[in-house]
Amino acid sequence: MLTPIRGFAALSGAARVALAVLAAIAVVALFAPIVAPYDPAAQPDIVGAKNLPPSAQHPFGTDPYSRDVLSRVIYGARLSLTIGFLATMVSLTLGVAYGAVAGYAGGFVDALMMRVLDALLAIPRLLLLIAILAAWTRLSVGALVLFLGLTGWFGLSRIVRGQVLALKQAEFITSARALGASRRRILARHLLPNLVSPIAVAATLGVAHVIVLEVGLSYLGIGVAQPEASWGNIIHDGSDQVATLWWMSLFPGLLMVLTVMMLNIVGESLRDAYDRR
Amino acid sequence: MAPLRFISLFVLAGVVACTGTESASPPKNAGGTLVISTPGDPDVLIPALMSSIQAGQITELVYDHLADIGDSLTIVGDRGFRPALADQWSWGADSLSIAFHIHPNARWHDGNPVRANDVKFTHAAYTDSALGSPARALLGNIDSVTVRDSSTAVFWYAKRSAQQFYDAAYTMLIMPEHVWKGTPFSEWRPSEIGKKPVGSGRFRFQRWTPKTAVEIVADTGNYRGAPKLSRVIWSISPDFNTAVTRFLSGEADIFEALRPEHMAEVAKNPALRVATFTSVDYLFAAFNLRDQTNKARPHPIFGSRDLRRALTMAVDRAAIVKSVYDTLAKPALGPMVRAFATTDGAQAQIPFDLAGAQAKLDSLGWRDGNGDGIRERNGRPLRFSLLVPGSSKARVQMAVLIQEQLRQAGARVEVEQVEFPTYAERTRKRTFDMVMGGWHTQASPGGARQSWGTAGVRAASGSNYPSYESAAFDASMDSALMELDFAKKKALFARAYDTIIQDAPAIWLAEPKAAIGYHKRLRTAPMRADAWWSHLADWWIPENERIPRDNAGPAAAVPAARPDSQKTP
Amino acid sequence: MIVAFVATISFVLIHLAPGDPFSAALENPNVTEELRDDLRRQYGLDRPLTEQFGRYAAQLAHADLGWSFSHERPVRAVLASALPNTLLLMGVALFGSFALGILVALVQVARRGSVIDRLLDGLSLVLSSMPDFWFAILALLAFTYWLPIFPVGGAVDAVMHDSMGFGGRVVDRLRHLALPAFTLTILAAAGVARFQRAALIDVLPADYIRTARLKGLTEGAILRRHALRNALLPIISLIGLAFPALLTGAVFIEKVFAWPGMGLTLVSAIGSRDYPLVIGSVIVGSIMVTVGSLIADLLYAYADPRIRGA
Repeated sequence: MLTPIRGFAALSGAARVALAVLAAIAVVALFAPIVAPYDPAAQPDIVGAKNLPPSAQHPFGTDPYSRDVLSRVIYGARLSLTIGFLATMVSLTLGVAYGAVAGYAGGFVDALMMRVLDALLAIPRLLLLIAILAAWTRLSVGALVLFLGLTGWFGLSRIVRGQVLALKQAEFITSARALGASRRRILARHLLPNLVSPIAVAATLGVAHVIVLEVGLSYLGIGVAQPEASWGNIIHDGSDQVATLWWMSLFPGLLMVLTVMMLNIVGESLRDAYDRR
Repeated sequence: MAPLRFISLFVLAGVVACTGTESASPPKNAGGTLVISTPGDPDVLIPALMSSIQAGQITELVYDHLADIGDSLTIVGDRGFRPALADQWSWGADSLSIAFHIHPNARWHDGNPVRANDVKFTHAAYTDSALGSPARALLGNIDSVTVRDSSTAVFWYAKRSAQQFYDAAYTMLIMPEHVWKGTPFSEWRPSEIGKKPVGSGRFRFQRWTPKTAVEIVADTGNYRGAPKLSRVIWSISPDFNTAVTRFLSGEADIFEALRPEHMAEVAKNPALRVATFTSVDYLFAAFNLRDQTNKARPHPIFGSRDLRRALTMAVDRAAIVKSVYDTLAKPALGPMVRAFATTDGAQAQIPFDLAGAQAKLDSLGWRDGNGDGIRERNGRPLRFSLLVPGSSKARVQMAVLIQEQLRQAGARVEVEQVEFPTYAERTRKRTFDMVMGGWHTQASPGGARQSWGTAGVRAASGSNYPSYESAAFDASMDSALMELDFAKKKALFARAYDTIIQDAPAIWLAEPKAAIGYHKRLRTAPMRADAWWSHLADWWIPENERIPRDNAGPAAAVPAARPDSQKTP
Repeated sequence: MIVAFVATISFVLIHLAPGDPFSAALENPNVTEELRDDLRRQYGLDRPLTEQFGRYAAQLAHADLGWSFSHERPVRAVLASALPNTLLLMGVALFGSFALGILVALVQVARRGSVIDRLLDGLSLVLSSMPDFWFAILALLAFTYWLPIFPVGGAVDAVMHDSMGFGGRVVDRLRHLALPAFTLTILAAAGVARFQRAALIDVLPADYIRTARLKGLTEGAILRRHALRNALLPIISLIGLAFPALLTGAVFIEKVFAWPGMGLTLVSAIGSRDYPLVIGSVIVGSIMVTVGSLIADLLYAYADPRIRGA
């Protein structure tokens, strides 16, 4: 059983570094208004200051609307990370709930729920998202989070269900029941702790996955709307002139790869720790 | 951009738009392949039904008009036209009819001769309600077409107008009756025949591989003479950027919608040239003057003329145009273009004055009570959406710039970027607050009556989407159009324009130029301002400059096979 | 059954959306309301949704996916011409990525702990964290723009292809296939390599491996003969998982390289509110994925001697 503290100790050295980097990014994102040199939506000089390459005043250059790209990337970190985090929370909640119910109920209900899950799993997540998002033209960030979350819980629910099933057979449960322990007690004492590890892994990798998805969707033009900055729509803004406005694709892309890499390292390390025990 | 331009079936009055190249005499051997890179598939290749730029270009080369617009680009009367399918014409004594005589050698591409019946049939098709041609409304003045003999068709008019000849000669592309008559009008659009056009033009249709390419080849025995090129291919890309890149990388010879950011690229490449000339487009950000939910009532925010004027004052239009277009556009003056002789380049505008705008908004009662940067009045925030078609980079950019400028003035604008079909639908249904609109206008300044006159508001098919109603504007426009004396005409138009500009139903934004990139080995014929492709049959490529694909020869004609058949590699 | 479910979901989703297929061709204000209503009647869009759905379900049973408005062809025809392109891309990427991934993993394990191992590990980590389209854009820039080796997009040269000889046409197709396939393959290979490396490492300490070592087999032989075969089992199940991932990747890559496959078709179909085509694509996509995992399951059952009962 992997409690959070032991989990941290079980992380490899690389993972701990990764965690630190992530924390740094998160801090910068959190304090965006202080850290960012300019207002991300301000267009100070749309004729003379547009599309400037990186310089001292604008380390990441400016975009076609003369907005400072560095500031937008910082605010973008805030938005992309928030979306990733919140959407994953939604996914986790749904995944655990669905899996637990299915596993606990067993029998016909379980079978039915699993069939539905199979069908849902059959549709690639991106296609489903594209279909949903392209249909709604004015999508608030909240709705985006919701849809991202609604499409990401399938895998976890399988794992949770497996845990619940395994638990149901386990001997100590029957003996606990014989002793008169309530269902809720069983859940709390035995089920949840066993779920911490797979949930932690799913959460980490899930956030990474959502970030990549959100960036992809914004790049396609159906994610975050103007004038909000997200890494995806910075790349989108520069996607017409990828060669000449290379800084608009490079910097958000690099940061995104960095963040996702760090998340992957942590997630894989957690998974190794979980598998190993 | 191709998908959002309206087909120009009209011509400017009095504008010279030529960019020919040096005249060396063309070689005896015609030949060469012209590849046009375009971001859109044609919608249909049926003249009566088409509405995309690509379809317009292709059909105008495969089919013929009765008469073509001449280089002087005059559409009033018939003097400025050149014979095409009709080699001569004569007016009735009362000027309420015109008889067109069909060129004796005119043949359809399947060999049959062109007859007057074809003209009558074409008119019936264009005006049929089941077919639903977009050009139907433009033929309202023609009562009927009769056949005097096998090569003479007579058009009969309801009343005299300056555009009588134009209506008959140029609005329609003549289609072959014998090919189409077995198909009911309502089935034309999806029909197989429609995918293999049979025309009488100097090029004949070769193939259409959907979303990939359309190819036409020279009709060497054509009654007007063989073209100097062997074939023309439209190479279709899924989006704008890919289309530009194909041109820049040499996979295509022409790209017709170059943007400022491409100019540097083109300048660096010694094989490419650019032709820029004034066109007939104008773009604007229109206010919806009516309440979306209850069309009988004025818009809760934009119903106020003063508010619209204040918002207009807050937008620095000159800077926006310079930022988005660099030198490829001028600020728009109103619902007209500088190409019209009747346009006054110094037409008074609402000035850009942010401080003035803010003061005005204050005086109208719009103030920021809660410090969130957005003004409110009676509990309603100054907040609205701006609808933009994602397919037009320029409009999207202008929208984001306007969003920020209005934010400075205390308004919160949500840019709603949608796909073109949704944009078209919502514009038509008038479910928008503000919309980034644009018109590829008619030759005559009268086009503004359709788009901004009262008649266009009530009718479901009317195109006055902002629902701007002004009796004064209508009256001034009508008098201006009827006036024959040029100086007075110009003054009347100026007055009409002044009315609408001061009423501010829209923020007039840009008048973009056409910027066509082409490969240097092409020797071009004069490019008409509204239709650069009109003389494509006279373009040529010197033999010693030809490249491999020029000599490749046409692809095998697609056999009339099952609809699903694909070309095998 | 799955198909039915998928079809239902897609149908509901798309019809919830605002917009209507007949906004599509409307660039001209002169197209009248009556005309549009006529067209709608023609295509049955004015019927109540349940009736539309009923008809659609009936059509599906006959494998008739309806009519695509934006392509003016039956949906089946549109997908039939787009599907092979995507399958080609995915197939090449599947083989390529597994071959490359397994190879890399083998190299890593054989030289475990060395610089090469760590380098490759880092590389695969970076690549598997990279969004497909970003890598695709970089590849596009690098190899068509800065070093113009490959064509910009599409599956064949629209202008010249038909006039080439057979050999020329093959080369043309290969040239156009190269970059999209390369992009998809490399990214997928990174994932495979990481997975396989972990699997191999798991397997290596196993008893039968130790026995083999005691018997005196070289490390390489051990790897090849024993470890690999056993580590292949999880790989096969990975194949099943790879399908949805490859399809997702294909959507972005098809967009960047203008590759005329299902991804591109879907993206443009949604833009034009071409409901039948959207639903058709999603259904076909899901079928592909399901078939993929079915094949993987079968292969797994075949390959695993424990299951086979050998």
